[in-house]
Amino acid sequence: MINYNLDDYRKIDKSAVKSWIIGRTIFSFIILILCAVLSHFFIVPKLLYSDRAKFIFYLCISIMVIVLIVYSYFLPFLEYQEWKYGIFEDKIEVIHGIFFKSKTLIPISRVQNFEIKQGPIQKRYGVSSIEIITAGITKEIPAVTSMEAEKIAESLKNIIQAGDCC
Amino acid sequence: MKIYRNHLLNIFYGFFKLLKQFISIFIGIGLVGRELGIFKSLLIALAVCIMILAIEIINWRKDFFTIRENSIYYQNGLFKVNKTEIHFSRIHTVDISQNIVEKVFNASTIKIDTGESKSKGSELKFVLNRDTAFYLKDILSSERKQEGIDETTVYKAGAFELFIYAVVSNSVFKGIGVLFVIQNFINDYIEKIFSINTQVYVKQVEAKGIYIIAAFVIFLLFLGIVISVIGTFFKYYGFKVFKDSSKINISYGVFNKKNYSFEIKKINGVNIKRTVFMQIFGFSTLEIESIGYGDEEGERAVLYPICTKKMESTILAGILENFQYNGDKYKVSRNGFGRFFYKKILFWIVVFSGFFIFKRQYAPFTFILLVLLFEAGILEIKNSHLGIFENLIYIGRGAFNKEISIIKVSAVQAVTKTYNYFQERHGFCDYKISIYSSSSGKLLKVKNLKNNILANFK
Repeated sequence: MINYNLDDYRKIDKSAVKSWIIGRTIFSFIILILCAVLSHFFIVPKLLYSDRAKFIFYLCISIMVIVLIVYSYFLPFLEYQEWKYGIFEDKIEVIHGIFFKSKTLIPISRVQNFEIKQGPIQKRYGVSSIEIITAGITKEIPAVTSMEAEKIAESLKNIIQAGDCC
Repeated sequence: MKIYRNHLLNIFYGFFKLLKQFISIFIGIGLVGRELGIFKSLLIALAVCIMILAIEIINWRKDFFTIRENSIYYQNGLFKVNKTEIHFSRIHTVDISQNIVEKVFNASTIKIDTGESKSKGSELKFVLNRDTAFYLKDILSSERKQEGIDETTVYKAGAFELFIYAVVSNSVFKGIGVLFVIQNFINDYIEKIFSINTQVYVKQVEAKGIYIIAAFVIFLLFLGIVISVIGTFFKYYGFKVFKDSSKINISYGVFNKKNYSFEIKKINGVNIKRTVFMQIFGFSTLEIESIGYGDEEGERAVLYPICTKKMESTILAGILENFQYNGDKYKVSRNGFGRFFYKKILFWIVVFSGFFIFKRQYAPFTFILLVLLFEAGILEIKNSHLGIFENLIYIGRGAFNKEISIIKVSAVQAVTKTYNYFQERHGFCDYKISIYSSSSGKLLKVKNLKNNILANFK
């Protein structure tokens, strides 16, 4: 019995944006601290004598900070807009990406396994991610509500059993 | 039931391998050696050696396999015992190789791979007596009746072909690389001994002009070819590939003998590879795409080292008749050409401006890079192909090293299309095709092709 609507593309859960923002903020801080430590000990002492080199160095640092800010506070909203997935009778499609859109097609018969995962941040918002595992690649749907994840898992199981391949 | 163990030679292999890992202990002994005195430190070193040997002997004793009715049972480990049972029908490849040491002791290494994609390397690897190894290989494939080898499907690579392979494959550069290392080493050495004034040397060269340099380069090239020819000759000497009822068997080598076979049913595809010279002269190397085999270092699933276009189609027709692609192959269309050059030109501009700012006198040399990048772009356009027909997917890609893969559709796990705004407007996209392979997950990429080519992939 398939108890999941298999006709159209679905959006991921809205709390994905929040969990992305939190996750990426932490990531950005780690990167910045690492950079600060490295440059304090290795780069700055060597560059003090040259103004031009100093200028380029600070330019690089500021570009990096801007990129990290955009990456953690602006892109999540746009990414959320573009994220779509569809689970159909014969295939799974995953569409995402802002500037470079990517569209992955996995025939159901190639799905070997799937995993439902929940990280600490995701747990707070009651969402899970689903990993679809094939013998080649592993594709992740980043945030669906836990209830929906169960539903998807159930229907995937049914489809995989029904279309038993190999 | 007969229990098979490794050849005694394996104890020594393991012994030296462990010795290498314990090297820090020996260094430590060497460091405190002054205080302990030579006799004591030698004694300790000896004790460590004996300990290692003892470990290896116990390991050897605990490492065995037996043949059951239709499976092979394998057990190893002292404290953590691993027991593995592999059914014959799961075995994809059986590889028998022999290096010089093994040749002296009449032993061979046998490797068995299954289609399991999780673990890296072979499932089972044993050093056995050569006769036992071949006997085993027969057992492992005895399920299917051994029929007489059809003489028409035996292909041998002759001396002339190997010579051409050595010349046109990139191994010439390897030969030159070796030469450069040697030359550098000798230069340093000679300078130290004779302390020649290199300035004088350079001036002499300048005086006699370009001829000496040209002669030197030609000489280097010649030596490179000689080295690579000799190397290739010994490696692939006596290359033979033949097909029996269910397997493709390949054997080659003088000092290091290789002998492996593929289950035809379990072959996922063929890769046809061409280096720059091969593209110019119309040669190609054939390799097999199969799980398990070919992911260890120095392991290549070579089906045939060098062949002309005509030979290529005869071999494919004779050995892998299921992998002949007859459908349409789509190329990059004219309005997609430009896309291959944007990034390259951008890259060149960055390099050029870098040189221009910091080392102005070298900036003109970056034009060589530009020409190379341009050539790479043209070759990429020429080599990009994609097509799907019945149960095969045809993918051509690469610039200086061209690679054509003909893969079973059933081995393709997923297709990812990526495109940006401009590509979408023209109906282009980049393809990433994921195929069934070892843990790393092999991706084949082609760029800027029409986005509807793989519409009937399912």
